[in-house]
Amino acid sequence: MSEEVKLVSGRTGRTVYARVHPNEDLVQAVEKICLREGLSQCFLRAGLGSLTDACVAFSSGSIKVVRGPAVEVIGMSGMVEADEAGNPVAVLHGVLAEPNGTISGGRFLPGQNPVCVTFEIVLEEWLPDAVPAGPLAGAHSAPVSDAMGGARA
Amino acid sequence: MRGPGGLPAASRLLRQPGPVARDRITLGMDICEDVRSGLVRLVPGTPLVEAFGAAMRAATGGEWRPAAFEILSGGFEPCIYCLAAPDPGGERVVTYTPMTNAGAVRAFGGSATLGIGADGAPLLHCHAWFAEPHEGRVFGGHLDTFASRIGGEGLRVRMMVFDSFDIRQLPDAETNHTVFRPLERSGGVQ
Repeated sequence: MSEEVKLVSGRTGRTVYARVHPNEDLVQAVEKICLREGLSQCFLRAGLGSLTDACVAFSSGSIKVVRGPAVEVIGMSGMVEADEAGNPVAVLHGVLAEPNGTISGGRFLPGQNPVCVTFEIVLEEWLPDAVPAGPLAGAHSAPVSDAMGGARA
Repeated sequence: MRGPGGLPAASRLLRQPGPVARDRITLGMDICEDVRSGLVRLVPGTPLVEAFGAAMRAATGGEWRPAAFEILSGGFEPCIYCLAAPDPGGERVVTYTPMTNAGAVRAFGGSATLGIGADGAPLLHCHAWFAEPHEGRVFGGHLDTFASRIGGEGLRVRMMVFDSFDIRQLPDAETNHTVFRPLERSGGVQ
């Protein structure tokens, strides 16, 4: 079997709570927080607030702009990893409540999701055991049976 | 939606009613300790602001601390919520719709922040998405955390309690709303 599970061992570090002000882009705000505080990798643990307009990408590659004001973000997930140059790259997904009540969602496009009134973000730092040099540096590849603690087939 | 040249139609910036604050991202930072972070099952029938507050106090031995929550599974009953709407008076760029009662709903996810409200009492800001009880249609929005209660199956959340800063609801001149922001610790509600 060629498929492998990549395991990255590590521990959590600092937790950051931030209020993002109006007209700041949601994705870039998360990346700015990471740059400012020196966070190389982190998990988004909470995210709630409103966007003036929301712009999300779907798995087909199509893009949707949801017009507000305001579009409520009612669910959110994502993480930040460093690119090869060490710059933080946030990949954030959200569930949106449009002004008419329609629910939609997708991946937030950087630079296209301005905060309307306020946005609260909680980031939890991830500190991998190995020295990071890229997005999956420090990853250990193992067959599924090894990852589950079983004997190699 | 496409704009000129096939590029995505750009999202807009909005002029808010008040002066633009110089600080665009306000941070609080904490060192996460295991004892302050954990999985909690909230008690059915309790108003959200009380249930989340009780979970926080259980982790701190009764002391007040701000906290953030990731909603994992469970339900609300009733679930009272609203959406954003343009402000007809023009004093703000946006206000809220009237509250809707969605009944007994199953929660799929969301986030919440526990801080101190403008009146000095605990305040819970919560956005969540959920399915209504009969056909499973999905809705979501900004919850009234005083009127909404934990549903009969409880509610599981991941809790993070912050030790080194406060979260308070303060007037925001730029938006003409009162919003949560982190600030230096100065004691909380008892």
